[in-house]
Amino acid sequence: MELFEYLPQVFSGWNIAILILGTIFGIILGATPGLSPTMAVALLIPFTFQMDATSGLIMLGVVYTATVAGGAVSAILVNIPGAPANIATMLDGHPMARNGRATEALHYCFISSGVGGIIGVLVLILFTPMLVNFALQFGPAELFWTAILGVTVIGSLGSSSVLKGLLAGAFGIWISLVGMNPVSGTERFVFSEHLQGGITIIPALIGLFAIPQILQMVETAKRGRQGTEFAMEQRPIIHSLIYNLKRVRSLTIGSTIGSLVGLIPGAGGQIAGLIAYDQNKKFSRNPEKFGKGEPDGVITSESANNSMVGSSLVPMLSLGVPGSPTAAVLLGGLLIQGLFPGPDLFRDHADVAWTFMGALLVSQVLLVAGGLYLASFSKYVIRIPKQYMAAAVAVLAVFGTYSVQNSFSDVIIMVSLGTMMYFAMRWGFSPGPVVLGIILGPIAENNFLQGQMIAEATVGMGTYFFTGTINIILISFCVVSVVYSIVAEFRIRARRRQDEQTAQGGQA
Amino acid sequence: MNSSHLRHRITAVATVVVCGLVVWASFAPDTPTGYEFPQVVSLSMLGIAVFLMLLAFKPGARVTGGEEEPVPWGAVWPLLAILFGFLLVSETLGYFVSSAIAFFLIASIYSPGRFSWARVIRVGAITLAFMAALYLIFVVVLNVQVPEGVLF
Repeated sequence: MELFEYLPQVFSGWNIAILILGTIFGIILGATPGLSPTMAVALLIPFTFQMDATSGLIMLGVVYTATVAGGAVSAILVNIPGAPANIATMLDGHPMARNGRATEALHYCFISSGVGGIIGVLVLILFTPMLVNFALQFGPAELFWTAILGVTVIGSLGSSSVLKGLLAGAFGIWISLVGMNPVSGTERFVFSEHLQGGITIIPALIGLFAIPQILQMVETAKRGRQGTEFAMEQRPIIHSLIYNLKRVRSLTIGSTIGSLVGLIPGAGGQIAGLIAYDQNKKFSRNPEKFGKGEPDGVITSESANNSMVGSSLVPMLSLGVPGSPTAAVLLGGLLIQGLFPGPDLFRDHADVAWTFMGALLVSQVLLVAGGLYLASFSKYVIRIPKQYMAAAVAVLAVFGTYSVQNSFSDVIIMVSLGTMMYFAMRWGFSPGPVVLGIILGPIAENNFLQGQMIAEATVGMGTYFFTGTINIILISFCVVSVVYSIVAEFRIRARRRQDEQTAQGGQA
Repeated sequence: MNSSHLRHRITAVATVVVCGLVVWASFAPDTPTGYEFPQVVSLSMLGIAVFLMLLAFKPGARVTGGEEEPVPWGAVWPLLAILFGFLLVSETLGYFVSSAIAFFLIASIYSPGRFSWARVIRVGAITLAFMAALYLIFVVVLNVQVPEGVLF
C-alpha cells in the first residue's frame, strides 16, 4: 500500500513539527468560543504559501481536525459550542461539568475524538483511491456536472433555506467569473481597478468567514463573559481511557455515522454529531439519562464529529466536491498550491496526497495526547475576552490577505465581501455555498467551455451534456438533493410553525 | 403584517433587485463571446430569486421566527467604521501603525465596563505585544513587505 511508502515523510523534521504545533494550536483555537474551524483554516491559508504543498496541506488538515475536537472544550465548560459540530457534545458534556465531572468529560471528548478520527481517516485512505479510479472516466461534461453538484448539494443541504443556499452558491459562481474573460482574454465585470485581478480564493475565504465572525463576536462582547464556568476536578487519565475504550457501542455508532455523514457532500459535523447522539440514545438501555450528564452522549457525538473530518475529505480529494464547508476551504488551500483534486493528484503528486493522509492518521494520536495534556489548562483558553479575539482576528485577516500577493486590492475585496456577507447572513444566507461557488465556478466554466467546443464539433450540446450514464447520475443527484432539501425545508417550517403555535397557546 | 413578514418580503425584493443587476451586467456587453456561462448563471439566480419573492408574497404565507434577523447597528457600526477607516488610512499611515490603532480601538470600545485609565494602559500594552508578535511572524519570519506609510 502506498501509504506505508510515504509514511516516513510524515516524521521528517519539518512535518512532525507542523503536526505537533498544528495540533496544539488547533485545540486552543477550537476551544476559544467564537472561533470556528472553518475560519481558523481560512486564516491559516496565507501561511501555507511559505511552505511546500505537503507541509501546507498537513498544517490545514491537522488544524481542521484539532479545532473540531477543541470546540468541545467550551461546549463542556461554558455551554457554548466552539463549533457547530460540538452542539451534540454540549447536551451531556455541560451537565457532566455541572455535576463536578468537567475533567472526565474533557478526557472522553479527546479520547473519543481520537478513536473516531482514526476511523474517519481509514475511510479516507480506503475509499479515496477507489473514487479516484472512478473519476478517470470523467470528461469535461462530467466535471462540469460534478462542480454543479458540489454547489447544489452544499447550497441545499448546508443552508437553512434551500432557495437561499442555491442563490448563495450561484452568486459565488458569478463573482468567481469577475476578472478575465477566458475566451477573448479581455477584462470581464471589472467595475473598479481593484477587481482587475478578479476575486481570488484567499481574500474571499478570509473575508467571508472572518469578517462576519468578528462582527458577531462584538455583538455580545460588551456583555462580558457569558455562560457558567465550572471548576475542574482531578482525575487520572488512565481511568478515563479504560472506561472510554470499553464503551464500544457508543464509539461504533458515533464513528460509523460520522464517517457516513462525512461522505455526503455538504452535510458537515453538526449533522453527524446530532444523528449519532440520537441513534445512541435510541439504542441505549438508559435513554432517560441522556441530556443529564451521560458520558455516552459525549463519547458518541465526539467520535462522530471527528470521524466526519476524515471522510469529508474523500469526495474532496477524489472528485473535488468537499464534504463540509471546512473541507471547501481546504480545497481552496489545495488549488492555490497548484494541485487539482482527482486522478492527477494521485498520479502526479502521489507523495503529497499520501503523506497528507498519513499525517492525518498520525495527528489523531497527537490529538489524544495533546488534548488530554491541555485539558487541565483549557479553563484559561476560554477566558480570552471576545474584544481581544475580534481585534486580533481583524488584524490577522488584513495581514494574512495582504501577504499572499502583496496586494492592497485584495484587502479591500476581503473587507468588502466580508461586510456584505455579514448583512447577507442576517437575511438568512450562508457563507459556505458562496465560498464553494467561488472555488468551483472557474472549474465549472472551463469544463463548460471545453465541453462546448467538443460538443459543437461532434454530437451537439444537448447530447454531450445530458446523455451518458455518469452525466445522468450526476444530474439526478443534483435534482434529488434539491428536491429532498425542499421537502425537508417544508417539513421543518411546518414543525416550527406548530411549535410557535403551541408556545403561543401556552402563553395565552 | 408583523415585522418578521415585512423583513422577509424586503429581503425577497432586495434579492430580486441584486439578481436583476447581475443579469443586467451579464447581458450588457456588446460582444457575447465569453459571457455565455455568466449569463446562464445570472438567469438561474434571477429565476430562484423570483420564486423566493413569489413565496414571500403568496397570500397567507407564514414566516417563522429567525429566518431573517435585524442588524444590531448599535453594536456593529463602530467596528465597521474602524474597518473602513483602516482601508482609508493604512496606505498613508502604514500597515503597522494603522493596524495597532485598529486593534486598540476595537479592544477599547468593546471592553465591558466603564472607561478607566488602567484599562487604557492594559489594552495599550496588549496591543503593543500583539503587534510585536505580528511583526515577528510576518516581517522577520515570512519576509512580507507590508506598506510603510509616513509613520511605520
